[in-house]
Amino acid sequence: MRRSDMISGGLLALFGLVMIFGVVPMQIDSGGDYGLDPKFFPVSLLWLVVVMSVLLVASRIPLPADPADAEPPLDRRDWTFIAGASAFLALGFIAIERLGFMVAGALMIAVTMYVMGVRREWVRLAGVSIAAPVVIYFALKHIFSIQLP
Amino acid sequence: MADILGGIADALAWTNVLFVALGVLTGIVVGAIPGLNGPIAIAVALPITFYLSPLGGMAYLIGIMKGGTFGGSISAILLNTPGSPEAAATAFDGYPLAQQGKPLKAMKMALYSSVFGDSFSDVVLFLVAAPIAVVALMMGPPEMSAVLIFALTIIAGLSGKSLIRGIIAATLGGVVGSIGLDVESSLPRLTFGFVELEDGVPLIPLTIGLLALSEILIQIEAQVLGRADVATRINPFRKDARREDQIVTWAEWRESFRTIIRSSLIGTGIGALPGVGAVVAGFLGYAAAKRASPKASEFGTGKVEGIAAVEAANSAVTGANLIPLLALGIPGSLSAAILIGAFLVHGVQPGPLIFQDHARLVYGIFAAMALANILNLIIGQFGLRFFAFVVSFPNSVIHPIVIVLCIAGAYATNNSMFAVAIALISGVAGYFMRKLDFSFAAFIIGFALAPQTELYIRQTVILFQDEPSRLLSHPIMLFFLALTAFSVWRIVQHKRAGIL
Repeated sequence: MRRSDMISGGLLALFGLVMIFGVVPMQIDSGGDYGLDPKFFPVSLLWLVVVMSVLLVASRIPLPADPADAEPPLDRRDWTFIAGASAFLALGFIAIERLGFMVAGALMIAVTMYVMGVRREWVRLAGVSIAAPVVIYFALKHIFSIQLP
Repeated sequence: MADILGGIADALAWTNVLFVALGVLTGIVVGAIPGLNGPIAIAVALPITFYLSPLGGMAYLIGIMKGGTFGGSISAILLNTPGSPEAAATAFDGYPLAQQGKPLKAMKMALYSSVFGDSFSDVVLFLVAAPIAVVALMMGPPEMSAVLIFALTIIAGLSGKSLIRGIIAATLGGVVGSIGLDVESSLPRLTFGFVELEDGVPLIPLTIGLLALSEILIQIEAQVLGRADVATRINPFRKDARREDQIVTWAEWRESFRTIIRSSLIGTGIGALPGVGAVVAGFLGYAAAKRASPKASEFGTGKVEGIAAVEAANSAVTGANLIPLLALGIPGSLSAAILIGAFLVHGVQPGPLIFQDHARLVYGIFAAMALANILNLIIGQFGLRFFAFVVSFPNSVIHPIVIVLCIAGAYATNNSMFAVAIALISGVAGYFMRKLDFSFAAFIIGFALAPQTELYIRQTVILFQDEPSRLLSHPIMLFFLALTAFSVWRIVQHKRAGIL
């Protein structure tokens, strides 16, 4: 974990500094003189993030090279997967807004099952992807009075 | 006394009994599926409890919590793949015993010891929570600030492999927890113009994303990229099995009883500490049993006592986890942090005042916990065939359904797609946290505790800003601050020695 700690520590320290000097001044106004300023708690926590991130990097520098670093915690296949998964979830979100939960849910289940290897079992793929969102939709509607989109 | 009797009567209403039973069943089923566990089930089921009575909702979630702990052992025994992390050590002896043709014996011992450990820790909870709450009521903002800082430090230090990463995760949780309107000035903080964020980031969609969705993404990735182990399932209902191989004999009970008591004590002690959790308890219970046994070399070869040691210890964490939650308002574990959401939805603030303001509800919850233990035993005993069948469900069917359930659960939080967006973003963030080994449990607990901690610190500043030296006359606060410093020192020492 040495290399990933150093990279994530560096990125988190940068994130903390950007938040403290860039985002917080724009997003939080100063309050009056009474008690603590609204910025006090978030800024204190962000400084703690910066200090701990620097400490994470500093504590890993003296360590000998870790054989586990030969394989990064996220390789190219992981990045491809999470990029695809993020796009899939974003599209699913849009589909729920446009098409409603039942249609979008059926599509999401069908795609996920297909990706997970259910390729030739069309009956199972169609059955599960249609039945599950319908059951969830009507169970929430009639038992708990929750109206899904 | 009227509150105690009223609470028991409420818990025994048929609807609440039904909710407990449904919760136990859900918990065992979800816990038995590798990759899913009790906290995930609680997170996904939580929005449903909004539409139930406070006791009905809590009874359902408590049922899931208790059932989930035992459920994890089923796949550990039949597949050598723990259904939940705390059952990892159950596989040490459970799977070898199943390979010897005694899977039913292994599952039954797991069930009995799990229910015993759980009941033991519940009794401790019933006895100590109220007295601790009485002490906590005497504490003011400075003391509560120090207690919360101590709890956050312990959680950050012990919930992952690295103290620094744990503190970063808990602190980031605190940063996200500070989003919303400032408690004093009502000025918006880090809301980026979203009106929905003025009440803060909602706990439930955040938890659904970080806990459930991210785990499902990891599981799908493992399957898609061919990293998932293909486990060989053992059939527990072979027709040629002998009767004595299907039951736990009295001799085995007697041999394991001392171990079960020891593990129950270990689990209860661990559970009362914030942040340590059932995984550690399970391994410690197993190690203690092995050390104390004259037949230590038999552990790991299919010894019934080994299963009992793990299951009694990890289940005993469940009840004890609620001691800091109910007495101090501090969640001792991930499940307890999620339960805070359930309490708040019904207008109940966990903490010492709960015994004053909602005594009947608390005793109702205690009665529901006792009931859940009995139902866990009954449902576990008679449902083994069904649970063994569930274990064989393919992930390619379960995981896609769980994704859609997560979305439905997030939406149900406040009937808004904004909550769904929070869950989806948290799911991707949780994926990276898992990959980079940042404790999402520390993050969620930091998030849940941040508003409370800030409030107490602000009150302390207002009370003492004219004369800060008066703080030195608060011995409990000084004690907890000293304890925090000592704990950090000890954790650093242990981490360096490679013990924790």
